Amino acid sequence: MAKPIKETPVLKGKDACNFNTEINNANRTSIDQKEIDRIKANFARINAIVKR
Amino acid sequence: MDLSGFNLERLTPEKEILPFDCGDADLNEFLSSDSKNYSSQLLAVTYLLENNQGLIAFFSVLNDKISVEDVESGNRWKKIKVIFPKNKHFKSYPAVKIGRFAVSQQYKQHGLGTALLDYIKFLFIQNNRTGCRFITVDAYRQSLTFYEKNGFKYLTESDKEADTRLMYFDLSQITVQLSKGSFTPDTDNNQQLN
Repeated sequence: MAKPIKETPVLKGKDACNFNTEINNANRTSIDQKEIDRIKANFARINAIVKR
Repeated sequence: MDLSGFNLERLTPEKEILPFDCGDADLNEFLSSDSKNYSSQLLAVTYLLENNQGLIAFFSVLNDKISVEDVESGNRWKKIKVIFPKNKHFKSYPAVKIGRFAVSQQYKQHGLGTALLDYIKFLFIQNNRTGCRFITVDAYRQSLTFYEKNGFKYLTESDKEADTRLMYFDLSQITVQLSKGSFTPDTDNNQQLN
């Protein structure tokens, strides 16, 4: 048996502060248009080969 | 990389799992021995990328959430603490966890990992039937750089020395950028993973 998939812990203390800071800055750290285009293109490529 | 001849398929109880080697014995073991158990217990769903040469990659996904202890200060928080003095207070965000994810050794460095990761990211924005703010991942040490390059951040410092580390990607980074254009979620497109 392989290692079990680890559960996500409740974030506390410094971890909670770091996380809140990161997500509050999400607007300012949004990824650039070039990366968005790549994500959309890869989504379309993979979606086209999904076996229904 | 040209994906003609490839297909992505959900693992079912009847599906034969073809030989697979990603270079990590534990990940190989998860696929061959545990993935069907996770599916049968409704804990995780595994998807297989195959072509006529065999099994190329797999990923297993499950529902998750990120809960954060409320560190807010101020009058509102003080009032709540008076009412429930012994209780902890949390904010929770819905998420999807990539429990396991691997590409066969033969196909590493072809961009397949990033392509599949991009697919997962956009899948949970494009036509998600419930809310999902984050993609989380239980990442093996050898893959940490890969996830960092793909925009994932570490969730906690407490697993620095562990075999796997928890990381997250904020999907709102994509939606914020998309909202600057004319993006609207495609609620009519059902031609996606089942």
